[in-house]
Amino acid sequence: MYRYAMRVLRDFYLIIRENILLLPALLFMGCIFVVPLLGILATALHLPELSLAAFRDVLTSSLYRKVIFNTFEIAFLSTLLAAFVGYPIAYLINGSGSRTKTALYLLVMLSFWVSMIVRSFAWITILGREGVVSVLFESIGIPGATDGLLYAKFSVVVGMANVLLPFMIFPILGSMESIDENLPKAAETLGARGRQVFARVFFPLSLPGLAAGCLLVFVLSLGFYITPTLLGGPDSVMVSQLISREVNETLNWPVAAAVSTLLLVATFGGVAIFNKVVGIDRLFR
Amino acid sequence: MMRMIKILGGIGLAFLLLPIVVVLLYSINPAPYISFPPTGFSLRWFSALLENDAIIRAVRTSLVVALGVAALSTVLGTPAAIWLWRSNSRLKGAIHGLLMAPLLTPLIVLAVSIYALYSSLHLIGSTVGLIVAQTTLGLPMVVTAVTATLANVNKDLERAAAVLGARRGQTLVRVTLPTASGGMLTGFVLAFGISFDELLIAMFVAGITGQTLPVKIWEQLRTGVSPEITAAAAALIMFSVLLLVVVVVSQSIARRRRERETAR
Repeated sequence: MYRYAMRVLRDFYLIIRENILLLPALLFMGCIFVVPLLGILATALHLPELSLAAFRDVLTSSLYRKVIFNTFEIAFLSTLLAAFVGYPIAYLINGSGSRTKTALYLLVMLSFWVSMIVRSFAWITILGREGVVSVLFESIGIPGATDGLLYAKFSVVVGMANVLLPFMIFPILGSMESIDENLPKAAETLGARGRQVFARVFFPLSLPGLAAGCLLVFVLSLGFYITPTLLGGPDSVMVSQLISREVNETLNWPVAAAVSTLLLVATFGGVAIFNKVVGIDRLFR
Repeated sequence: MMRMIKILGGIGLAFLLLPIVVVLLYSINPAPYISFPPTGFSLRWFSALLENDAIIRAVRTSLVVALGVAALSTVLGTPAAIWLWRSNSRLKGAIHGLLMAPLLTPLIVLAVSIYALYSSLHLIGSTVGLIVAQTTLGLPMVVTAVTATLANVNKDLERAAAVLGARRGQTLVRVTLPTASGGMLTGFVLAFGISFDELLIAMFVAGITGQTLPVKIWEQLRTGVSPEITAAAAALIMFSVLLLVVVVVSQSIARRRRERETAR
C-alpha cells in the first residue's frame, strides 16, 4: 500500500516535472477561462437542483426568439457581404507585384489593427443624416438617400462586414498563395481563355480559403457586441446585447447564462466544423 | 473578367479603409460639430484632448493595464509555446486548442463570466484583476507568435546543447529562449495591442475607478459623436500604425537574423 502510494506520488512528480513549462499557462487558463465558463453553465442549468427553466424561458419567449433569429440573419448577411467584397481584395493582392503586394497586405493589417470601436462608429458619420454619403447624394440632386439606413439592420450588416473583412481576406489570400502558379499557366497553354482559367481552375482551388473565411466571419459575427450596439436600432438587437442587458439592467442571471450557453454552443459548433473542414491550426498561422 | 475582379478589389479596399479615412478627416475639421465636407484644417480637437483630464487619466490606465497584460501574457505564454514545440503528447492538439479558445469565445460571454467570478471574489475595480482578466486574450497572442517563430527551428538544437553538456535550465535560458526572442517581442506587442483596444472585459471588470480609454470613448459615444471623440479616435489610429510598424520591424529583424544563422 505504502509502496503503491509512493509510486503514484513519484509518477505525479515526474509528470509535473516533464510539463513544468506548460503548467503555469494551464493553471491560469483553468482558473480565469474554464472555471468562469463552467460557472455560467452551472447558472444556466440552475445547479445543484438542475432545471432547464432558463432555457425554456429563452426559447419560448417571442422576444428572445426574434433576437436569436436577428442574430443569425445579420451574421449570415454580414458574411455574404464580406465574402463578396473580400474575395476580389484577396485576388487583387495576390495578383500584384511583390512591392505592391506587401503594401496592400499592410493596409489590410492596418485596418485589422485599428480599434473596432473606431471603425464601427465611423459608420455613424458616413451613413448619418449629415454624413458623407448623404451629402454626396444631395450634391447630385438626390436628397435623403440615406434615410433609414443608420440604426437599422442595413448599417449593422455594413459595419460588421467592414470590421470583420480582414478575417475574410487573410484565409482567402492564404489559399490563393498556395495555388501552384503553373496550373493557370497550363490551362492557358491548353487553350483556356482568361475567364475559363479563373472559373474552372483558379476559383475552385481558392474555395477552401473562401469557406474558411466565411465560417470564421460567421462565427465571430454571432457574438458581436460593439458594432450592433453602436449602429443598430430596436429591430436589429443581437444576442450579445441581450446578454449585456440581462446582466446590467434586469439582473436576470439565469437567462443571461442560458443565452450565453446557447451562443457558446453555436460558436464552438461552428469552430468544430471549421476544424473538420480546414483544420483549426490554419487560423493561427 | 480578371481585370473586373481587380477593379472590384480596388473598390473593396476603398470600402475597407473608408472608416479610417473618414475619422482622420473629421479629426482635423475645425467645425464644432460633425459635418461634411471639412471646412478647413485645425488641430484644435487634439489640443482639447490633451487638456481633457479624464481622457489623459484613461490613457494612463490603459497603458498600465496593457503593459501588465503584455508582460503576464509573455511570462505565461512563452513557456507554454516552448512546451508545444517540444511535445509529442497526444494531448498537444487539445491543449493548443484550449490556449487559443478565448480568441474565438464571444467576448460578451468571456466578460460576463469573469464578471460573475470577480463579483463573488470582490475583485471588481482592481487593476490587477483587469490585467489578469485580459491576459486570457493576450496569452493566445503570445503562444501564436512564439509557436510561429519556433516552427522554423530544428528541434535537434536542444539535443545538441544537451549533448554538449548543458543542463536543462541552461539549455532553456541560453539556447531556446534566445531563439524564441523574436516571437516573444511580437507576442508582447500583440498582447499589448489587444488589451489597449479591449472594451467588454474592461467595461465589466474595471468598475468606475479603473476606466480604460476604450471604456471612456464608449461612454462618450453614448451621448453622440463629437469632434473631440474623432480626435481621440484619430490618435488611436496613429497609435495602431505605430504598433504595426513595431511588429513588422521586429519580425523582419528576426527573419534576417534567422537567415544569417542558417547561412553560417
